[in-house]
Amino acid sequence: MLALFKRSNQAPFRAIALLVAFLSATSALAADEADPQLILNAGVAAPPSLSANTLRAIFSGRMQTWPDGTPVKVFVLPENHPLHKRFCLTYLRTFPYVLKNHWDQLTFTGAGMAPEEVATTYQLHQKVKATPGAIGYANRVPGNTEPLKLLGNFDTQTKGKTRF
Amino acid sequence: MNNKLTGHQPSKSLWGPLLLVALALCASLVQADTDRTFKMHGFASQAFLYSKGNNFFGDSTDDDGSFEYFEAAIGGQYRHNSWLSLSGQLFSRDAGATDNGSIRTDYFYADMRFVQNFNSAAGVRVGRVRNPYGFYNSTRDVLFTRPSIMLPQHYYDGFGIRELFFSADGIQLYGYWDGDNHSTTFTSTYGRTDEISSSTFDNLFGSAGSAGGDAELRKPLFAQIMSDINGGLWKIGVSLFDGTLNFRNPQFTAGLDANIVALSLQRNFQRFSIISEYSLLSLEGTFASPFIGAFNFSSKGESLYVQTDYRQNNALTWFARVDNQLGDRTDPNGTDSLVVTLGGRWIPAKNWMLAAEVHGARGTSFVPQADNEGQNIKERSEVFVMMLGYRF
Repeated sequence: MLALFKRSNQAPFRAIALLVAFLSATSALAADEADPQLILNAGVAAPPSLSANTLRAIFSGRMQTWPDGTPVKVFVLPENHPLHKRFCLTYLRTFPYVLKNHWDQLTFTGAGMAPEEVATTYQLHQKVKATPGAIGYANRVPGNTEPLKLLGNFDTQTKGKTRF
Repeated sequence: MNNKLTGHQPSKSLWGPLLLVALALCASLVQADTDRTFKMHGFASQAFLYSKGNNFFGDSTDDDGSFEYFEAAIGGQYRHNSWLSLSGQLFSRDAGATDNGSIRTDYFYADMRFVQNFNSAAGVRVGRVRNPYGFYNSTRDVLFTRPSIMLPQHYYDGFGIRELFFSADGIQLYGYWDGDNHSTTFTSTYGRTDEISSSTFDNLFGSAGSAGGDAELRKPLFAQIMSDINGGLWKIGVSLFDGTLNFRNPQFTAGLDANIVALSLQRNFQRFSIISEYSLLSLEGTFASPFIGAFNFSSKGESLYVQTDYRQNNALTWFARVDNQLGDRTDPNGTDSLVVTLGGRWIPAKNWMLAAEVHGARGTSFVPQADNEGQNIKERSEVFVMMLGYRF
């Protein structure tokens, strides 16, 4: 009876241990080389760094304007681009598909606009540089440890009166 | 084809032409100012169904199946400035005898956001708004946003109140606040009292409604709190609905108070997702007729489903679901239905989706009555559905 008890008790433990090992292996961060850096249009009156919460609010379409009234324009790479995956995991701490589902929900209910998707990191860089209120990400230049980088000319600043 | 179970009737509304004019106007305004943005979206999807036992969306038990399931929409969003935007969508759906493909205004509202800062926002939407309920009600007709081609019974119109559930003409208050590790959204719709078609009443009280009369939904109320924890790795929500349906004709008067509480829970891993929702529907009705007399009735129904998604890669997702509904708690054996579903979704290119699934069902609440008129509804059904969708 005791032996039977023991055996039947161990099996679920082993199954759970296996499951835990499997889940932690599958949910581990992708170990690729991409190292994203946040980029902003120089016209955005931004603080030296943005919290993960604020970034989530921006990239999930909740926060639609900067405090000075400029519309937030978000640019992203395709869902399966290594830099996009890395950005989602390290800056937003979520999976690309979770974000994508959220954008679809926004689009089809009319409650918000999904970010504009561009094909390459070069296009993303150019868009952020040229668009007032724009935010995106780029490959970090080795040695650069700044949390974010401003792109473009400060002259493009249209309404940047309120600093925060 | 009859009009059973359709949404707001197109003949009742001027929303459609208004929406088209507004979208055209918005597109022209955007040219003038970089702060203004306009974005269009749309989709179209066509299904093939083959079933045994009962018909689903057309004569799907025929040897060559049914193609009578089609959905399409076109819409846009125009942001005028930091606090004002307009959104609208025109929609058409054909679903066997349960929907007739007429073009209707799905939603069309002005969104005024009166508070916006780094951690929170609040606003009001006025017009025809989509009602929040569970994870999927507000985008239930979009192949790309629902968890399967055919939704779990949680979202079904087993109680005949589909028309009342989609969208409401009224006011929607919304807001969100972000905490350390969550983002919580509140959405609440206060619908105006709306006349409804007597065919909807037929669905609730059998063919009595076709005798002609007035039916109205009094002040429907929808409220939802949804929380995304850890960037959406957990999603937890509570949804409430409350509304009264009144009907009057020369033979009788009737009233039905419906109240629903629904709980939603989702856990997202890199490859797996687990989604579960539970709802409790309470109905209280009164019926009075000079011929039969007066009586009251009440019932409680429940529904629960659990779905697991497995993302094999970026393009391919498999899922399995168990879905149980109890039409009346006091008669579990007579009103219980169970649906087991296995399926997959394939996204071969960004704008395309091909989905396929098999449902095995015991019980009749899953079966669209209108597609099986004139024949006995069988206790068991097996359905194969395939749907191809395009979006932009």
